[in-house]
Amino acid sequence: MDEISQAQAALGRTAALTRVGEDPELRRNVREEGEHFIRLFNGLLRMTRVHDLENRAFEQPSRDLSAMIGRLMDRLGPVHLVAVEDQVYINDIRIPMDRRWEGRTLDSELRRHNVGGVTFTAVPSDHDIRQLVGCFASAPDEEAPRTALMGQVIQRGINGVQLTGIYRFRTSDEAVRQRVAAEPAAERVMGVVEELWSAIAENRLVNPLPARRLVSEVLANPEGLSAEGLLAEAPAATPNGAHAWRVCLVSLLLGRVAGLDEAALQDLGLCALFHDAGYAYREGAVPASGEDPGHPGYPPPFERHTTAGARMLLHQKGFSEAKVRRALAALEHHRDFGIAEGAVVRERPFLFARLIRIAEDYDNFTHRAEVPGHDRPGMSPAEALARMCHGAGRAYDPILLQLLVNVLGRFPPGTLLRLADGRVVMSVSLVRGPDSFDRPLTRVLKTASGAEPGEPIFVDLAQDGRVAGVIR
Amino acid sequence: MAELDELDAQPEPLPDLDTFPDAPPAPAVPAEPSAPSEAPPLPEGADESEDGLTLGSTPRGRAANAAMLALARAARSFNLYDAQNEAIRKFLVVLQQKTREALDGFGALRLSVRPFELISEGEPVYLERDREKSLAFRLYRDGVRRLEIDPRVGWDELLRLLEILSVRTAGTAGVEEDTVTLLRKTRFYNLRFSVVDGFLPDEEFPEDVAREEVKGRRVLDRAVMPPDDWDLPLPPLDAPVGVVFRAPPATVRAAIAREVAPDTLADAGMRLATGLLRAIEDPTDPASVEELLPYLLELRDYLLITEDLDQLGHMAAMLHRSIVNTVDDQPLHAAVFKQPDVIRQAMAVAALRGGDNALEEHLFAPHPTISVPVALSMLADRLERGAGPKDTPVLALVELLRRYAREAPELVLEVLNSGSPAVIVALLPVLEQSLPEHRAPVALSLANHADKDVQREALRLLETLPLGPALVPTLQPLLRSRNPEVRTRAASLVGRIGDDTIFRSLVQQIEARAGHDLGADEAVAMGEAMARMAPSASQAKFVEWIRPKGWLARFMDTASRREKLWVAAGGLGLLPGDEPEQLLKAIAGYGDDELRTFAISVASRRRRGARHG
Repeated sequence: MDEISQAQAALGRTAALTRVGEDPELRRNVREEGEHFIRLFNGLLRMTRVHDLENRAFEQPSRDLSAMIGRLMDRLGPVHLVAVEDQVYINDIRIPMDRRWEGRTLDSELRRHNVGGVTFTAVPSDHDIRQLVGCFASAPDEEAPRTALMGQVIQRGINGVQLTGIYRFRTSDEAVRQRVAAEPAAERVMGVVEELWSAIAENRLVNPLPARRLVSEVLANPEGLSAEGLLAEAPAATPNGAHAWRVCLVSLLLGRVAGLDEAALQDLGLCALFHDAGYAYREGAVPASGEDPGHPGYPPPFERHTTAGARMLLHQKGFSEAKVRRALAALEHHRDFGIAEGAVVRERPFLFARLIRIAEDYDNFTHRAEVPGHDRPGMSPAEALARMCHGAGRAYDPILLQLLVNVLGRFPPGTLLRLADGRVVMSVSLVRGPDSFDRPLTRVLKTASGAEPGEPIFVDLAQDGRVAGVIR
Repeated sequence: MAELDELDAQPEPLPDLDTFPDAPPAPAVPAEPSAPSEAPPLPEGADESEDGLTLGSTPRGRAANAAMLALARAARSFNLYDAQNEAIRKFLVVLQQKTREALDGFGALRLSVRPFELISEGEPVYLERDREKSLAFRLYRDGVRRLEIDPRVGWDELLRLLEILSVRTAGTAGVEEDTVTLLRKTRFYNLRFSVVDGFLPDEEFPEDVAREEVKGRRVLDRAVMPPDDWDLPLPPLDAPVGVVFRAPPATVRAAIAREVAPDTLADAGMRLATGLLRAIEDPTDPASVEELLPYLLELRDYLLITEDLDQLGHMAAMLHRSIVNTVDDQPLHAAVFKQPDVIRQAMAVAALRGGDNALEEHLFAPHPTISVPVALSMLADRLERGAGPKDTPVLALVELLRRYAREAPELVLEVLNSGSPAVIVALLPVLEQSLPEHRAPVALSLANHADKDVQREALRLLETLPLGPALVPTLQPLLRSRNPEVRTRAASLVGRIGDDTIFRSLVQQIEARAGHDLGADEAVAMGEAMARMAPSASQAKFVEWIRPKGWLARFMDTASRREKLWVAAGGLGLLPGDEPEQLLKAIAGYGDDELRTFAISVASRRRRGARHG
């Protein structure tokens, strides 16, 4: 077979595999309806220039738009419409517009009011739609147009509509990139993590793309997987969301030192964010019907949350590597590494499950373990790691655990230490080299006299100071 | 972003109101900009071709243009043709050639991406105004803003780029991935790109941020919360052990990476299916087969497309063993595999590889009413397309039918009755080995088939069977077949089961045909048949032919007499006593070298036979 024939065979195979991985429903439902949605919205805005809001011409399109938002919300939950330059996105899914000016028109209509996006958190009635269109048709306020517009929206009694600011595209070679990736991640992470959870819990279409972009940004940012990142308060609205984010970061850190490439790391990050999806399932739930109020069901116990998670993640259609990995990681992330069942030694768990198991236990031990004498849960990172090492080969993959040890060190970030001179410090670095494995960079929390320093003081134990003990 | 700003400055077309057909006529739409085309005007001297304009005012520009046109054509061609199509081959050849010319002749291709144009070194090198066709628009739309191709780029890398631009982002594949994530995931060494990878707030004076944040948090309130005791109780804690730095062996990283290499997807998919099937079989787990079934169908299709017979066999075996039924009480195995298209696809791959035991046992055998007809039609198809009986797929299909014909014998018999000659010949071994009770009637019927190959094979089969005199009338027409081999074999068979009645008919036929078309082999077979059916009458007839009455007749060297002597020589070999020996000597003295040699060999054989009793 010559080079060209080989190329044809390879491309043909990729085309077939791409078809298997597709979710045709998404195109039909979201993209096509999204395009219709934008046309309706644009059309209504344009109609305000020739008709009074009470004109009957508004009736049908308003009803249509209301129904369409309802359908989109059934699948996507809150509908986030964003216009960026001539492109339009609904929940981060780009809407292909047959006529490019439709996107640009929407952008300019919103931009008049300093608005870049509209979020619908409740289905507006057709009356609400008319009122909303009327708000947009009004002359923009000169000083704070979006605030004024929001004021109108509230004044007209329209619920469940929020306005967001103007956006522009960010390209991968922008200098501002690192600052952006480090800072607003908190807000975005919260949105992404919580939206994932809500979508799974409400059996809606899960859109993994925003989460993948987020993970991709963390990986692209040299400081994304740093001690600082691990120490930062996890940006999530719930403890479980914060846990998912921290497990994601530790998994990525471990995956990177394990030598996984960008493609695998992206998938690993998503697997970690989704690993506890099973808790969103409700066993025994019965939908309300007629006079039967139904039953909300109850979350699965620990033993079954793994299978529940895998099942829920399989609701996404299409056979893709990413989906299979997510479901398999959810299914196996609590399986011990070396357990034997009877005489038959079971296959060791999936790699991502082994990585997440280590990251998850590390996070749970450091944030949730009850420690006698401590007023809040969570043991010292150093102690957690040392105790986990006892389970190497039994509960945990010994090589992966050693790799985590090698990168977190004897005193992982967040460990409180008492130095021989009486100072209390906190470890704030990852391992910088084998020689300084047990001598991290630290920040002084209390001086030898017990006072808190007025400004940040760092002590590099590789050069100065001796550890007398671990406080926590 | 300079180019974006320029584009945004272009005037807009007048929007129409066709979204609202019921709306009353709009007498005076407020002023909107007039409606120009969306794309830039045609450059002077440019020629329009099917996939973009022929551009370039410099040799470098022309070379870059040719390369980009080739890339555009190749990328678009996958929407029009099957990957194996000759047209695709031509486009790939041109792509290879034009990119090499551009890169080798003028160095790196540095391209700025605009909605309809690609610009290199300030010169437009690609322009296509049709959005559906435009490579530039596809790149721009998906967020690519700059692309640089280094002269060291290899064919592999170009193909991966083509793959992303054509097949992997076509249709609806953007659910899980977009061009940005695909480009980043793909390890390009000689391709660099700049892409849009998100939105940024772009306000000079941010408004009311705090208030919006509060609203935002309200949106994110979870309707469903995890239980308070999620992940509890935590695993039991062991005593801490010393934590030390240990560098893992150098091979560890490679081994870890191999665990998630692309070719492990099937394995991961199977593990997932196995784990979930176990959960469904667990009565305490509320997992249901309805949740798993769509995934199993996806996995099946993936394994079929990747032609992963091992995993497909494992999957079929796993479901074959499973006790799970679907809601309509159908076994899970049937719900996944009992479909002609599925079985046909699996069988096609298996046949090409010479068969697959696991598939046969766990996929084909459980559904014989589908597997057998599919195998029959594939066999017919292959033979009609010119495959030979010894080709691997044909042999594999025959073997498969041999194993499972008993599960659906009527289907095999139907094809033996009405199939093409090639199919019938291929199926006769199946009949012989798997449907023995049908051998005689089918072979006898086929012995009279119009096709000589079928006749010959049917007779070969008949020769192996215990037959009785009642079947002789069926064989008689074969003695007049145009095919000498058929006539020869028919004569042998008739000799085994014939009687006096047939003997006379056979002699008449020999006498009528001698000197015309009686070949040596056929003559010998007829002589042997005569000797078997009626030894005494045969010997008398042989004497008559060897020593004809009248000296003139005895010395006439006619073809008729010569062929009768061949018949006699054949028959005399089976007759007892001394006279046949003398008669054979007489034949040997006839003067024909070939006949003499044969007669001597027969006599010799007779003597050996006599010595050995």
